[in-house]
Amino acid sequence: MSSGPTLNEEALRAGSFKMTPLRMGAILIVATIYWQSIKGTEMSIQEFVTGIPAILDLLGQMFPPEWSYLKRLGWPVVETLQIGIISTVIASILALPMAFLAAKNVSPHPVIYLPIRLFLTICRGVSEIIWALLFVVAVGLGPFAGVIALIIYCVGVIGKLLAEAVEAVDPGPLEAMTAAGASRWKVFLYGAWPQVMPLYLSYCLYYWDHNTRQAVVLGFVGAGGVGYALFFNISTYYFEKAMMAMIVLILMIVAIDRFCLFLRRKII
Amino acid sequence: MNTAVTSDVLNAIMEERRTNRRQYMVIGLVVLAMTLWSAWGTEFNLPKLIEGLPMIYDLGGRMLPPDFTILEDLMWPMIETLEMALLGTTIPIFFALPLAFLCAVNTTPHPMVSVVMRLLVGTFRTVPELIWAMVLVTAVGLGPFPGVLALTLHSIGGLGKFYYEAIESADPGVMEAMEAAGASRFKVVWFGVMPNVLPVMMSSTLFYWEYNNRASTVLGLVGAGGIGLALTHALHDFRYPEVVTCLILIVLILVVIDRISAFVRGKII
Repeated sequence: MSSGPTLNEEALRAGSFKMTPLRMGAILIVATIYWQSIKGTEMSIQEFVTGIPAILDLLGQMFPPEWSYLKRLGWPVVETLQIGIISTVIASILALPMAFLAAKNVSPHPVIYLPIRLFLTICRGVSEIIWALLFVVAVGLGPFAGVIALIIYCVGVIGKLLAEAVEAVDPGPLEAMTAAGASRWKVFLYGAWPQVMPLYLSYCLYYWDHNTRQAVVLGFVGAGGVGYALFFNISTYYFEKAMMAMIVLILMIVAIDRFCLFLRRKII
Repeated sequence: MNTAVTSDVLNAIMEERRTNRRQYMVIGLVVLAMTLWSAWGTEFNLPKLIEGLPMIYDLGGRMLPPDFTILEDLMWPMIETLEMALLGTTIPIFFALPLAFLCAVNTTPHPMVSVVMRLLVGTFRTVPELIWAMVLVTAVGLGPFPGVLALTLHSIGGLGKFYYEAIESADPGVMEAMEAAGASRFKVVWFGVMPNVLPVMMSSTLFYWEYNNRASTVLGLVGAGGIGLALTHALHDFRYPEVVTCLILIVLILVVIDRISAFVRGKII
């Protein structure tokens, strides 16, 4: 009976904030980091305010968008979509064995598990654009470099997410199958796979969306598609055309977003 | 009788399986067709890949060994990158939070406001940060400042969406009880919704911090400062050993940030 008020008191105490030296120090450190960041990035309200006319001026130059440019954007849009599709399909296939080898509970041996983990970390540690930059140097301009870049990054991410999903599966069926003498591959295929398949499909869909978005940006480094049209027009000061490309791009991304949402609801 | 029922059930199951299999076949064929079409369009084929392998190998050869003497010069660009990401994640919080309350159907003052604000948030999110950066560099000049602005604009959209989804999933019971007790709208939001959704919001903010760190490494490509600028310069001047040093540094920093983020996330949830 007497525990009621005590609990309340404790709850109240926990809610109130006490300034201890440790907390004070933490606040000071965080404040210093922010102060340094603001100085380091040359941020100032003043500069922003003086920049506003320039931004408005740029916006003014972007309007009205050049509508006649629309029909020349058709093929770049298709190319962007194709880059998104092929890279996602190949990456999701390659990610499967990677995830199987990188999941602690089904991986054959730590000697395999650790290097694969490292490999996946490196794949996703560098962003797609940097991969694309490197592959443009190696294999030349064009969508090919972009596709390889997206595949590498995507294998890293899907592989890691899927490995984590595999590690989180209910161990019951796996143990039962192992006890019944099933091979490791069979344990994975019939024990773990049915549990992670919905997640896998959901990741693939998400990364399809992501890859199409990134395919746009990859155009900046010469990997083709609608991003290249946008990049070219901004850097040559054809802002009306750039605006048109931007509108097409936004519509495309929104459409894919919606389509993915629709598919996800269907599957899961 | 019993057997009849069993066979009926079995037939039904078999029938269902057959339809399922047919559906999978159709989906598989559609995916296959789309893949082949895309492979054709992007000129992605095995011969070209094999043809490219020696070139990739050659590039790899020219990159090694990494040139670690420039590590000292890379320190400031790296710090700049981290600073951009920090500010580009903190500033949007102050914009995304009010926007999220206007967007979420359960806290918005009017459904029309919600529709308009969602459109706004969607536009911010849809334009990739690199494109924002490019436009802003054109407008306000080179340097890390347009980089921070670009990350901020994109993150307002990204965080805004995460936030309003969190708010919409908040427990409606608490809000109704507070409204019935006569609490003002602000109080309902502050004491009824916020404590409920704060952990989710913090977790998605952390996610965006990670994301922005990754993004800010490439902002230098369009002249928005940071390690991306150093990387681009090295690449354009064919100083490949320096490129590799940049890459190693980027991977290491991102792994460390990943760990910090995971640690903090573990603490708050």
